[in-house]
Amino acid sequence: MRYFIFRVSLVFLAVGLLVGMLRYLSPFYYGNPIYLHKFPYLHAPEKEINTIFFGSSRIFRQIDPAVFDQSFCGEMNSFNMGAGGTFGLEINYVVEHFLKDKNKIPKNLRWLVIELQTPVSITDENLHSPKSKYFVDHKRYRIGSDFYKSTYAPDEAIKAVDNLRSSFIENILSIGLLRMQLLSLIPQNANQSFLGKNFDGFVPLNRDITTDMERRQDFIKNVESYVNDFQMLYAIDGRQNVASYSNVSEAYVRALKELITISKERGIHVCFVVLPTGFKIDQANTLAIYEELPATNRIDVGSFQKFPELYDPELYFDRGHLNKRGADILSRMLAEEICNLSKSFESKNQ
Amino acid sequence: MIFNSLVFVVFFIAVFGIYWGFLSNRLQLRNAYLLLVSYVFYGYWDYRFLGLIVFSSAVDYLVGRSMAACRKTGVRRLLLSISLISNLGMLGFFKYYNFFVDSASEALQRLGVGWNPDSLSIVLPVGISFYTFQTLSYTIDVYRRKITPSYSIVDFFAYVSFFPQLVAGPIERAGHLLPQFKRRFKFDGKEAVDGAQQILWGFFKKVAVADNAAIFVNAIFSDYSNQSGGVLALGAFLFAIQIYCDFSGYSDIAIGTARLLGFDLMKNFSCPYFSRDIGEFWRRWHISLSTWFRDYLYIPLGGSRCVIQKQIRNILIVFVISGVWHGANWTFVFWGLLNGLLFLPLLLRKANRTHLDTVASGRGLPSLKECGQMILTFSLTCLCWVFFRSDSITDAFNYLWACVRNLTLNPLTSFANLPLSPSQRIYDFSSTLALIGLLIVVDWIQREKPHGLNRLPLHPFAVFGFCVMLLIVVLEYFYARVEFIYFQF
Repeated sequence: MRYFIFRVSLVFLAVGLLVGMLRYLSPFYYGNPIYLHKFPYLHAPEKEINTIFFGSSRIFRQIDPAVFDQSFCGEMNSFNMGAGGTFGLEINYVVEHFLKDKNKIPKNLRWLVIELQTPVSITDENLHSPKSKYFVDHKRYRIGSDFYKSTYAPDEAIKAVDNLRSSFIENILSIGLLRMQLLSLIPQNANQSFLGKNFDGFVPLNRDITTDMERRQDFIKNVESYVNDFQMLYAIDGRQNVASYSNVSEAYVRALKELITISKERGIHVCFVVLPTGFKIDQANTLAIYEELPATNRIDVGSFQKFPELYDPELYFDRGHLNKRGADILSRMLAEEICNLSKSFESKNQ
Repeated sequence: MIFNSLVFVVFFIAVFGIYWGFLSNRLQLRNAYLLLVSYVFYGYWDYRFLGLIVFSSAVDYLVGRSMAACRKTGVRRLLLSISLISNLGMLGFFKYYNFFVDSASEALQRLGVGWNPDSLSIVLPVGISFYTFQTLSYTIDVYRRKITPSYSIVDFFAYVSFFPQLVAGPIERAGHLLPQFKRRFKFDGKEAVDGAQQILWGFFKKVAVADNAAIFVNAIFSDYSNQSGGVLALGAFLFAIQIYCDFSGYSDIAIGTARLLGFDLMKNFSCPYFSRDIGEFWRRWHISLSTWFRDYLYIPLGGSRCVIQKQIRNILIVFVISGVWHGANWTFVFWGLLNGLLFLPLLLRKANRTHLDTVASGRGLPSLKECGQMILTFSLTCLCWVFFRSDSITDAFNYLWACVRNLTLNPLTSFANLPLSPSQRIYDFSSTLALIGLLIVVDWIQREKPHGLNRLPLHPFAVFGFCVMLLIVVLEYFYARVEFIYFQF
């Protein structure tokens, strides 16, 4: 038996060493192909980035750094780090690791604008894909489990926790992650489909865009019912009621507050932003968390009552995303809101 | 539970630890434990179907004992009939009910008789074709007095449900496996290392080669009418590789797992694509099923010891029934018939047992003639696989016709239009080809050995490095979310 255990252990040890070495060498964001293109660009010599936007496609497709910089009340050089299908847990993991190494943060960085997202559960279709598991470390597993248990219906919570656990175990064992790790070690060419034509990370959703056409067609077909949803959500029910739809996950709120603290130590101000969307449940959960964050670290540009113009169907590409025109308006509004926020706590400091 | 899941890995480590740690010297307890873990393994998929295994085991256990206690041929025949009817009845209902009813209804409608019975939504119990055949072989062998029946209910139930081979074979004969439940095993480190290597090789074939090939096979077969002849030929080639690696990989995992518990299961595949004719192919492909049909169908029908017309009939019956065994669809029937027709020229020329040895035995490379024979045999099996893979016989003929009709289309353009992502077309395709290349080289070098990693002719450090590399590849492709093809058979 000893001979067998020794031989088998030796093989697993060698595999463990090789896999561990590869993991050590690869950057923390290796599982997300969009980050592989965007992160190296943060340190492009011609850039002096002082603001970074993190988030999902709602950041990637809706925040135009060029418009934002122009509309801001001071000197601004922002970069859009948004990546499609990137939700609460992944954003939390990426931002935390990004802030960890002081030397790798752009030296002029002052603002981190993070889309306030919920830890959306991993669907069966995405289960086992590198992107759905590379960020699920023990901390994220704990936070996600707490969120699902406190927010979802019992059956959904069990399923969501099961999928998260599976991703966590696969991440620990490096199952199906080697290819992305190897890929992350190869320098990527500047790709405009991720970096945009200005190389600032923004790629709008235009009418002629070929991706996600099904969602676009669906929106056109059902636009009336979606507009009704918007109004239901924001006008009739009222903002406060929406927030009370959902329970709050303490672990998740604590994790967001931790980011605020770490950033502060680095001289960076974190601002969580609620963005407009047509998805009722997502927004209800997001708003519940929003209410728990410090007032100096949150901005709401998703409010129908405050920004009704953002709910004009003409500004939408599909149910969840604004088109280029909408993105311009949103970027401008966000710049103004951040400006106001910055002025308010500057005056408080004085 | 499927082999390529973390649940199975954890399950097996626990089973292995308890088995050798506490039970190896307590025979009855060990067998009861094996029965329990086998039921857990099967019940993890759907516990309701455990009843079927228990029923099948109970019937054959009682039939076996009753037959041994009885000398009257008539009663013995009656008992055998009970076993045959209950097992084949169960298999027929769960696997073929809808097929027979739909086919009969269609045939009657063509004759102008309107009959529209409702199809039942029947779930096919995993592995039913395998364990049914295994228990049948037991009662038939007891009837023929080839073996003595089992008097231990635990041993017999454990034999029927032995988890390594429960859901996809090899279909073990009672004469080979059942006595092993009476034997005490001593842990053999070298044997266990070789068993672990066989599992590793099986995983490599299943998760790295078969599941990767499946991506392209599915894409090509789902849109065959728009593909060029070259891409369609590639689709047939990749399916041949997929089904071989899927099934032989599973068999390797099963055999290796059993070896780690001290059991010896029969070899199920012996590099079938290095065969020089169809006869040799069928001696090397799914050996446990081929020999089952030989012993329990072909020989009782008269085998080759009868006039040539009857020999032809016997061959065609065996191949058609073998096709039906694979699935409830006319495509499988036709696949079986086609294989039978390809076998007939060998039978008529009395050349069906020409190649009983391994190709290029004792030599590094085959002769030109052997190369030609292997390529021809492989091409013929690929042709047959098109029927196996297609949704209908019409689809299969259309696929083959498109192969010829679209021969002039540019294969590169056609390949680029497959419904695959750019990363799949470039990265996954090239890595699949590389893995297939590795498979062919290893299979060729090891063609006379029990499995791909058995006593590799390399320096021990190189073998170690190769195993490490294979394990890394297996880790990378562990989850491809493709079900084992043979689960539904």
